[in-house]
Amino acid sequence: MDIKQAALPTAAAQTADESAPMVRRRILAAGVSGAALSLLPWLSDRAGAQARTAPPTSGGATTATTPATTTPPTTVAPAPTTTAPPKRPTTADIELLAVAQSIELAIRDLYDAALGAKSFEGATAEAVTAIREAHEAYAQSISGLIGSDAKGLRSEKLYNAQRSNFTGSTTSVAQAAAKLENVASATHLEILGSLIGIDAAALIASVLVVEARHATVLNTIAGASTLSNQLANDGVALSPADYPVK
Amino acid sequence: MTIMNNQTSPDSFVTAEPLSRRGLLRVGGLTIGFAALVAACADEVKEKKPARVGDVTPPAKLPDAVVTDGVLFRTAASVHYSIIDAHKISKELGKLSPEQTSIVDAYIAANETAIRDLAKFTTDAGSKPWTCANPRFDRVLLTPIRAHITGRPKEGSEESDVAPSDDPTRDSLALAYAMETVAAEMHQSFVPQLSLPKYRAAVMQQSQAAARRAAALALAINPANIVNPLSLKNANVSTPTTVEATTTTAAQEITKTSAATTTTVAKPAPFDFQQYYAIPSQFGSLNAVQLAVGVPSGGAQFTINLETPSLNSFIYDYQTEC
Repeated sequence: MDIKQAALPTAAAQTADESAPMVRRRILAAGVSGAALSLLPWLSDRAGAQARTAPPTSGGATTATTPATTTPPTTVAPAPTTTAPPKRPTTADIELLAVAQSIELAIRDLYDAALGAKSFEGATAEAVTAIREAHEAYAQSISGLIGSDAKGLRSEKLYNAQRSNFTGSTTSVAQAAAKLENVASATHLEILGSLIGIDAAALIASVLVVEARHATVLNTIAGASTLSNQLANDGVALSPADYPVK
Repeated sequence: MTIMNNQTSPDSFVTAEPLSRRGLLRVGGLTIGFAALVAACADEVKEKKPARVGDVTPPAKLPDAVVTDGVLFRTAASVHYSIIDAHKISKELGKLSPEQTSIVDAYIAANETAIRDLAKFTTDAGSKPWTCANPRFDRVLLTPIRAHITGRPKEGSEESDVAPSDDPTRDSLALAYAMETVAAEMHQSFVPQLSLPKYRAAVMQQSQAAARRAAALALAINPANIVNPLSLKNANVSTPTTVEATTTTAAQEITKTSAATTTTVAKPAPFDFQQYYAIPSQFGSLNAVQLAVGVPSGGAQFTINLETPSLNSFIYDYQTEC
């Protein structure tokens, strides 16, 4: 097939060919306009929906919360009656924690005295060593919580009062240690009832629960023959005012 | 036949056209823009309900679940009820000695005392005391534990029946220990959630009592299990003396071909049962308590993690009936 160079259309040919594109373009224009107009209600709906920012008010089924979910309800709950406690210890907390630390260090040193005097042997000595280490860890944890406010000093008053009880036979020292663990546990419980800061409360709670176990173990080492003797909890809390940190 | 060419259309062909392609696009764009403008300015649609045929019951509105101090006390009481149920399972299935039974009886009484104390604090906190077991705790924990002590036929996709325990006494005492440990942990876990210091002290009073019971039971199960070896390691105590001597097993002599065709088969190593310690950790742990019960199978025992209660097992104030 030959490709010929087309001659310029004449005016007559142009007039004759005009009618087809004209119709097409008008149909297209009408179609686009029609489509745009048909979208109008939908767009209007969308615009109206976007304008709504507030969630539906209570009363609808959509605000219900499921107890099994992990998201606490945020809408129609009754207003809390108390403000959330602080995480960090308050000034008053720090004073109480310093007393707790001095008691822990005194207990650690008393165990050191007992172990130095060979009051325990074998597996019992190992257990007592682990208990001694635990008390040191408690003191260190308090230091970590209150920083430079921690004096890191044992309570000389408590140490001197108990020192003579921590030398002697396994039974007598274990009895004294069990009583001291009960005293420590009761003291921490008393302190816990005054602590405001959550972090301090959580720490003291994790300490006193294990000191209760220490007491049971030491009662058993001391020869407790009945369950009630094993579980004996005769500790009286020390008053922080009586054991100030110097 | 149309003549093909490479000539551009003359200007007159376009300019003579009243509606050009560009004009068409312009008109279309203006129309759409105008439509969007009108839509944005339209009134808010009030009625959003789609048209429908028939009537559908609206979904029920679930009550609001708010964690309050009272809810925590109610939950604690419910778990103590469940622990009493667990102790009764121990008595029922454990073939316990009189001494062991008296320990479990004492623990049941102690849990009843705890429930009474918690009821008082529940009322103080403005909630109604809860008077029965925790349904989720029973369903998710106690039911499978019981099944692995008593044995049961296979269910669902299980391949075989659950065999009854080879040592119900061991499993029952382990169950009692685990329950008291869970009680201690539960109360400790509530400390950061309670709003008032006096409530925190109240739960820790229960926590330390439960911890004492757990420690005493650990020593009753095995007097040598005083301190977890990991704690001993932390304390730099070199060798725990309570470890049993390792058992040596003879290697199987397969290659040795003697006149006699008997071969020495290696003895299976004794199963390493879960150990429970009077002092399991240096600080009070909030980890899940692992309880292993049932007959060892395939080198393992059925082990279940006992978690402290959380949002899906709390006893909320809207729950009014046991």
